[in-house]
Amino acid sequence: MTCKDIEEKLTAYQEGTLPPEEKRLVEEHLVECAQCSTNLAELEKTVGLLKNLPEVEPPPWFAQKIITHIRKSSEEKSSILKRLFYPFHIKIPLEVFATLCVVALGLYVYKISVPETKIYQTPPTAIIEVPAKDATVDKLKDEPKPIEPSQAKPDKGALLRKEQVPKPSFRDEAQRAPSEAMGEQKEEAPVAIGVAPPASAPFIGREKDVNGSADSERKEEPAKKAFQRAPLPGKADVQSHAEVVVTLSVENLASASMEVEKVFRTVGIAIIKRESQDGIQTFIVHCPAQKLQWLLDRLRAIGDLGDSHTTAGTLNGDLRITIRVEQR
Amino acid sequence: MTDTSKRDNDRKNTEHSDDASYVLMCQKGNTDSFRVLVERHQKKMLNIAYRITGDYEEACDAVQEAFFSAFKAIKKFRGEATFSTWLTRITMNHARNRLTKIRSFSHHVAPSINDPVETETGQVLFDPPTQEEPILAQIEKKELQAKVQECINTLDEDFKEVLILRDIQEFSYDEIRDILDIPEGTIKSRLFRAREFMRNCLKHKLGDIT
Repeated sequence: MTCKDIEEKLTAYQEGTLPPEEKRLVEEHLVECAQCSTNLAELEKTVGLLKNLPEVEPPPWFAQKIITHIRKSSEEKSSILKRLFYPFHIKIPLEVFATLCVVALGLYVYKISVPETKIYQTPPTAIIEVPAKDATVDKLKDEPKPIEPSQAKPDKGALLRKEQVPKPSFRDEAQRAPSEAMGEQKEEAPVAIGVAPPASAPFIGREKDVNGSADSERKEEPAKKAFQRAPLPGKADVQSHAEVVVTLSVENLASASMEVEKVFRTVGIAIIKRESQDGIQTFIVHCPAQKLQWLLDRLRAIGDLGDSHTTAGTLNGDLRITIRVEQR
Repeated sequence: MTDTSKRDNDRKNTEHSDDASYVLMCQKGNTDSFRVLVERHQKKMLNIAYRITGDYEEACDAVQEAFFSAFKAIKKFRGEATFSTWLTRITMNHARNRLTKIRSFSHHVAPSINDPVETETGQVLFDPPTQEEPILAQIEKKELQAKVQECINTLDEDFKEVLILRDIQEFSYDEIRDILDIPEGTIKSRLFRAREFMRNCLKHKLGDIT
């Protein structure tokens, strides 16, 4: 066994863990080898120095300091938990109550907002198209040339009918006066000139079938239908009475005045006032709104019906009509 | 087995059973029981940490952190090893971390002229041993202890830990195996190398150590 081998076994020899045979060999070598004996002595001295190293003492109150540190950290942790979740018997009911309030508020907002949404989503349809088989409607739509007064006579079978629906949304629809019908109305204007503004044009050829029975309406008196066909101002169902002012230019003032009076008598219109001034004969009459169009057609047959204007008010019921007959 | 070692074993077994009961109480939330464990083990843990770090203040901090970590993790302690072994492992981990910080800091500090010098071949050369006679025996003893600690400080960590646990704290091989989680053969090998290094180191520092 060489010194190198012995050196590697010295630690185990020190520890007393060598097998008896190896221990004997090491001891025999140590007796013979001074260097290995010296190494063993140094090794034992080294271990002795290590074992005799003094123990350091912990500082005063070291254990107390450690325990205080541990308790402080534990309390900080528990105080955070307390702030978040303690006491449960107060916080949990409060949180449940707050949640219920939020849910109730949400349901309430949803409930009150639904009807408004429906109104905006479904605009009212107040106008119903007249059946296509109505020849007069087709004619009015397709032929832009002016309609002669005779065409508006009841015996021509004019079946156009318009009926106002007393809904605000419908009025809005009428007041908006769709522009696509404007040109059509202007070309047909001779029928209604001096009576109705173009805003009423969209109602020509359209019908609101309130009773759901268009056929029964067609069986009514033709003259009445002719009046009903007359376009009316947009605010037709305004409650106040409207005043219509029309101007009639004629060749012969005297004869024309007589013819006008004759028309009034034929229909049964009462003359409220009659005056003559500066070559202008003025008639003020009360006329049922339904007869307005028929009256205007008659006047158009007498002379040139000029511009007119209608004051704000309803064209339902009696109208106050001022007719100014003047010489050309 | 001698009578002394028998008595030591009996004492250790008694301590272990006592530790287990206190650990059980700690696991049930009794902080006062942990105080008993702290008072029982603080000195040993402090000495281990001190020998690893070589710095008393750092060792105190490491032990304080170790006990705090042990308290936080005590509910996970299953009793597979003794509480002492488990606590030693925790303390050594904290001491290692402290040592790493110390070393990273000391990189920026100018080396002392008394520090050992490493050659190109990796051999560590120590200052020649002083030939001066000690004036007082106490001072000589402290110097001797300081030089031993210096040698310990220059050991690689793997060797140092085995040396401290075996030769200074006198843990058994089984305990060291549990603490460091390495096989017994590795422990013996490292211990041999550590002792050889210490022998050479002390010879260089002290001259004749026989």
